[in-house]
Amino acid sequence: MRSRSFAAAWTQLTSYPTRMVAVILAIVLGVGFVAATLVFGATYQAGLGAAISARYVGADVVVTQDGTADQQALLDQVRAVPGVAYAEAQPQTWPSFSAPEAHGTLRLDAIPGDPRLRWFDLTAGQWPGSTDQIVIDDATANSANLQIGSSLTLAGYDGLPPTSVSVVGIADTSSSAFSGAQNQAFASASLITKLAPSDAFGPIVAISEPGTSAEQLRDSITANGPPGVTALTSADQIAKNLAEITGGATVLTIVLLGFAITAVAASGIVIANTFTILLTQRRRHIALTRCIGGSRGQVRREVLAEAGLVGAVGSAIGVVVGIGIGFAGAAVTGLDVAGPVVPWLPLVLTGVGGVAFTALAAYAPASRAMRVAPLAALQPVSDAAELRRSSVLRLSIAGALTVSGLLLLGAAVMVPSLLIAMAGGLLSACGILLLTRTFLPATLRLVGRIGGVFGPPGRLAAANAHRNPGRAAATTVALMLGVGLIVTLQVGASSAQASLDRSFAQRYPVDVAIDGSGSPVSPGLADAVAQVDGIRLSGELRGTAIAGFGAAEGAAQGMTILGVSDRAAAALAAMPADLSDHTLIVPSYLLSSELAIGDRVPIQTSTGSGDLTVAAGVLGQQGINGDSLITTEAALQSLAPDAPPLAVWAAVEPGADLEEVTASLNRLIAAEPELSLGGSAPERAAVSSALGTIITLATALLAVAVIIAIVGIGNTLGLSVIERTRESALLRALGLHRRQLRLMLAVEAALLAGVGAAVGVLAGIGYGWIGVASAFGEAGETMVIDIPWGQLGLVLLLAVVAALLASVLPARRAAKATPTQALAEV
Amino acid sequence: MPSTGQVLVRSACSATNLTKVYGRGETAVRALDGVSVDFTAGSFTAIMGPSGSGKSTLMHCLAGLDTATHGTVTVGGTEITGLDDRALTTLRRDRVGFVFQSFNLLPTLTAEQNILLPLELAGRRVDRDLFDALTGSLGITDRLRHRPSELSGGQQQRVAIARSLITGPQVIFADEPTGALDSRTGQSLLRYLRSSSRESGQTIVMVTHDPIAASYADRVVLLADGRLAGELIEPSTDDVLAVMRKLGS
Repeated sequence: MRSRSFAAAWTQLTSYPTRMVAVILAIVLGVGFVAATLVFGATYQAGLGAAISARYVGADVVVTQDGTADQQALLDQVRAVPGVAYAEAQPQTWPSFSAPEAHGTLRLDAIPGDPRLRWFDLTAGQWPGSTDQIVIDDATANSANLQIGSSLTLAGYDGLPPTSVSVVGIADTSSSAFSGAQNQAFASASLITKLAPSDAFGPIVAISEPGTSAEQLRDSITANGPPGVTALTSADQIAKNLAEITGGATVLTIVLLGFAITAVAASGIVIANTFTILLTQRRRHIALTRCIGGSRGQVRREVLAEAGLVGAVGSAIGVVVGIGIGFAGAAVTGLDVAGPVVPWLPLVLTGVGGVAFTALAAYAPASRAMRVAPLAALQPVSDAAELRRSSVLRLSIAGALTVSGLLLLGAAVMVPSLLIAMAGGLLSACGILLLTRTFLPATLRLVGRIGGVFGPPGRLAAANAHRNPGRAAATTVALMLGVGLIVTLQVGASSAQASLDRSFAQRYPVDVAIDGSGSPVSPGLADAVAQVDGIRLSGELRGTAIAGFGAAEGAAQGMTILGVSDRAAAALAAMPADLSDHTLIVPSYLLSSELAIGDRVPIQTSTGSGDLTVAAGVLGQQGINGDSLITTEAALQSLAPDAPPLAVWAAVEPGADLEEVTASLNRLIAAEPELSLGGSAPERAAVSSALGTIITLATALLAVAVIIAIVGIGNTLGLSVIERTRESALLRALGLHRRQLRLMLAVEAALLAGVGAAVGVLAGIGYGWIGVASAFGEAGETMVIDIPWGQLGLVLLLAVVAALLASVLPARRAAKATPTQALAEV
Repeated sequence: MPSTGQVLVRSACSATNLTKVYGRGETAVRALDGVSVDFTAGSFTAIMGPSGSGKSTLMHCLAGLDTATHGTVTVGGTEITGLDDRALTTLRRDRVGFVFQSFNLLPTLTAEQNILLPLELAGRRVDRDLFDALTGSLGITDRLRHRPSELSGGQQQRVAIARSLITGPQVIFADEPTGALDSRTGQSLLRYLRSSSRESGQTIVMVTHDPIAASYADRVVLLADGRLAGELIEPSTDDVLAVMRKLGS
């Protein structure tokens, strides 16, 4: 029996391969999505694990201390523990450095004394032989313009004198997760201890004696080692670091899987719809089988076997395609440090799940088809009015889900908590999707009046759109899901962007501030900045060093006073009301210690002096230059008539590409290492580019769900066209032109897609809003809601246009039949 | 030529040497083989014949639902052979009415909307007096807000007749209009069709295999094997039965 089912199913498949294209497409998209997520996640995790473990290569046990006990004493105690063959400390520090062409901070790690523990190699030069020699990694060599032989100065920690060192080697650190993320240098442990004797903590790594396992050594150190330390095997230490770092990676996998589930849900709806169509087309075949003695079970098994076969084909293609896309994704994002990883078991489960899911989705249509009596099935398909009765159970479940979800959403804004918002969103979304069948017919009837614009075909389409509420709901739910998530993301991203912009504007008074830290900028700099694409205007600020102000002599050390010229003032987002020729704006930290608002401060410079009152307004929370006092150009004139320009302020044109502007400005000041680029533009550029990338990626992923949903709309229309063959024929006999018939189906598709997308957009706006409110509330930030109407309109328009395209094939099919052909089928 | 000599009688619809071949070569079937027939304005004609005689094909060709292989068809003086699908569709919409055996109405529309559908498709104004008169005489005034699923078979056919008459067509084609009805309902429907022919001068062409139904017509055109096989004027049920028996033998 079983083999007969498969044989029959195989015959069906091979006889009508095109009928299955839509189903296979839906399965490939759904399964492929899940598989790609799994492969990407596994590859990413493995890459990260390998990168983190690089530092512990060769070590058996890693000992970290919880306090700040003397490292040398600890090391001696560890070395004394039985079973320890070798142990050494790996101190690290973060000194500032200055070189002829660069300055900044670098991470300085001790070079493992034992070659077994060295996790990196030199690509050039040699290992340091003394404490005035260091090795840098190739990324640092490039970014700081250093090479072998370069000399640089490393600042001492906590007031210790600086040390001059020279570069003697270039290290290859590409196996580390952190390579390239920061300036990295290596030196002997003694140099590090010399630079930062009280700060250079690091783990102690130990190698066990032959015959002692890492676990035994760990236990031995825990039992016999110094108190107040934690000993972990290097494997455990790596796992612990990984867990700390991959909080983000896990979230990424969860979010991706969330999208994948969306795509799978959309696929399931499409598969079920397509099988309904297939079985309707095959009604006579089924009826005949039943009439000549085939049992319901036999016919149902045949259908399920067919679903299983299609599911297997689709899942196999989906898994293969998913593996490819997962690798490609990891490679493109540079996260495949440890090479591709294939999580076989989850992938096999995904494939099996795809087959089972297809059969499950096909089960309901198959059972429905079997319920028809054999002789009734031989009759032409009648579009019997579907029972409008909503199941009480479904309604109460949907209502309970919606209400509890909405209550949670309200709570999420009050608390505020993003986690509660997500739970509430999930519950209420399920509720709304279940309610679709109840509210959709009324909505379609209301919106259907728009169809009247297209005359009689439009009115007929409006009536057709809601004649089968169950099917219309199933069709639109998939679209609502995809569009709703896309819009939630867009509103969330747009609001996050607006909120960040506002918070930047509060923190930074100007978009761009170029500052020489007390040394003059070149006189032409303001004009050169103004020439940069995307800069609206720029102005220079003259200034001079302060010799002292009032009682706070010490605090004047290294401070400057800047005069805001009219042009520079124009670059300010908002001119502080209190800034006049007699007032002064001081860095906020001075207000908490040395000065109070309203104090009269006697300012002395090398060329003059004057009294200025501390104004109430602090120029931006972040200030511009931590060490500058701000007054007007006129006030500065009396203090220092010949002051040189010390800074340039500029305003960016609205809508300018901040990344581009920042890059151009960086090129402009690259040659002058003492200049630093500040203001809100560089930070906004970094944040919005990251945000933009994430949103683009997520939208592209969700678009898959929308594409599946559109395929579903085409399928539903296909089914309707088959069921309404005689109706179309009657209309054609009564004088409906072919073109009008096609228009009728197009309007029906547009109505379904329009309502589905509109509900998705509205729900998405609500969810996006609540998501932003709870997330920002949780972070303690004030939020700005920004609804990107243009983008949302575009989403709506695209959904409708795609649905119109999806209606083309069913409409051609409907219009091809001549009136007599259809009437003759009586 | 059947209409020769009847100078004063206008032809509502006619076929000349109409041939319809389905298929090609070995499997070709001549459904119609050189049929010439004329339907004068205001006449009520029944087309009869055994199964496979070509009566439905003849009606489809006359009504512009199907195109003939050879020969010509005119409706209201217009030759329709050679018209493209667009023109045929417009012709059906504006100048021809249809009543089918079953599935006459659109399930999504109310009875009133179904009746007015051809006018709506044509973008024509509704003649409210005609509408009221039609629905009143058909006795469906109180059923106008119902959907087809809420109407009896007879009521559905009455709605279909109202729909076919509302455009003031040159010809109404009825394909087994009483086939799905019980005999009493069927006969009241046939009486209505006969009266609209006699009193309002409505041309009606009805395909049927029921001798009783045919006896309501002024004339019966008999078809066998795709050819004309005679005709009866003002026939009784017995006349029709006798001829049919002969054709069948």
